[in-house]
Amino acid sequence: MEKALPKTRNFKNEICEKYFDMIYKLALSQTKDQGHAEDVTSDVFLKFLSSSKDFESEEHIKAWLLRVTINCSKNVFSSTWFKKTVPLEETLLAEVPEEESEVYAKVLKLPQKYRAVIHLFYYEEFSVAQIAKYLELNESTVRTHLQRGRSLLKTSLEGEDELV
Amino acid sequence: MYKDLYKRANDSIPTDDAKKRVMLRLAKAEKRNGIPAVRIGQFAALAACLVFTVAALNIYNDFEKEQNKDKGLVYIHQQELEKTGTEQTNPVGTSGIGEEKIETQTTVSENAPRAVTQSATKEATPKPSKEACKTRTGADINIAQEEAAQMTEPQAEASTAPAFKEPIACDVQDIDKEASPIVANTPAKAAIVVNEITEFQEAVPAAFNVDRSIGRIEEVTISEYYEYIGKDVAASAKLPDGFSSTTQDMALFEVGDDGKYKGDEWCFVFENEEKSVEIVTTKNTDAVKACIDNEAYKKSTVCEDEAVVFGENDFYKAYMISKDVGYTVESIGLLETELSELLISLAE
Repeated sequence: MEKALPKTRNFKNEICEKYFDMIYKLALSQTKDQGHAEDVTSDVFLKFLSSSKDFESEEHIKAWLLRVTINCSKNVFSSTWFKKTVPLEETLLAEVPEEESEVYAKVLKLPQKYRAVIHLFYYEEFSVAQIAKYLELNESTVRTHLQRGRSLLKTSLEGEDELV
Repeated sequence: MYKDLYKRANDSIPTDDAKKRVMLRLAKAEKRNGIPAVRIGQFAALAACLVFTVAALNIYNDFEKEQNKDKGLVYIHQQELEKTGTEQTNPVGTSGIGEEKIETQTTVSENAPRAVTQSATKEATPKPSKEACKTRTGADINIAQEEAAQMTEPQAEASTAPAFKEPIACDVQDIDKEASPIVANTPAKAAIVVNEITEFQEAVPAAFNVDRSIGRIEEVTISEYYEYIGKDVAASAKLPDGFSSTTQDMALFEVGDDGKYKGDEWCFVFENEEKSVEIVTTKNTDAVKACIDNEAYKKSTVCEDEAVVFGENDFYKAYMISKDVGYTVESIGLLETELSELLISLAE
């Protein structure tokens, strides 16, 4: 059995540095706003830094970070303040070159749960099994989300249908 | 093609500035929230000061009452303090409220002024009871009880800090209907107790020991699947108006040498503009059963079947076995009553 990873501050800071991009971009795909994404990323790493959990491997840490990111992003959506404000997608899309911005914009319009799976599958290039493990979903659920998300994306990019 | 475009789009988003801001935030938080040993000692000292202040205030209050109020009333209050002060190791009741009450009053009684002398005899019960107050007026009794309640209320809240979501009680039988109108509206066929979700929670797969090796592939239609599990899930599932099913109507299952499906989970998806429900079914119920049997989780009942429900904000995840089919239900946006009705419809 593998020993638990160290809980030293240095090690945890290294983890934060290493996975910052992954967590930030996942949070961005979920919240569609750079400010919210920074807040979510801060929350996730704060929880990690103050956690006393024994992580068995770096994979375990990665799964934990991804799960907490999704949960924290959901909390942003459920906040009363968020419901009254509109995410500044335009600001985010301004960072993306024109050629890619249309696809990116359409992905941002997908329902949140499809966005998470699409992002992890297409951008982070995780397998269905890995995504299922990270997000605590069944593989069939992940496949359904991918299938549905791709279908909606295709319809949106090739037609003029409104995405849900 | 879309994959490449999406990848390039994400790669083009700069993260350096965001990273600097977040790392700075983390460093500040670490500096602000760090609790080295010295600070623990300081916190303990502060807590001791607060306790002493509360005790001193109680003494002052007693002294004031002695000066300004009916002496009979004051005697009853002090009598209770003296009684509980001698019973430090024998709490009045088994609840946290009784224990905290004694801790506070013990300190007070040791220092309570003994200037008030009365000829009334001491009563056996430590609490201000109606029998002890028989010779007092009704208003006096109410005031005494209110004051006793005021002394214990903060401690009562602290001592009963719930490990699980309030106001729904831990035990099904102890649900306080007055505190929770949601429970009052729950159909009688189900009693839902929601466990809090923590990021440390172990994941519950739909099924254990699933052989994912490639065997013979068989195309299974949704109708065939309904026959397989013995339930038309889509038709049975009771959901609020406006939901539509986006479930795939066909799946590829792998069939083992024994003719049985390897990995028979099917995900039924229902959604509207703001809400979604996913129901995963399987006949391999070991994983769901392990979750339901886990003593760490409070149980719900749905039509005589046991279930475990987790919830946070408007997100619920429920595990249930009914008629040899394991159900994992995940919902976003449903009310607890709506979740309850959904689970009942699946169990019936």
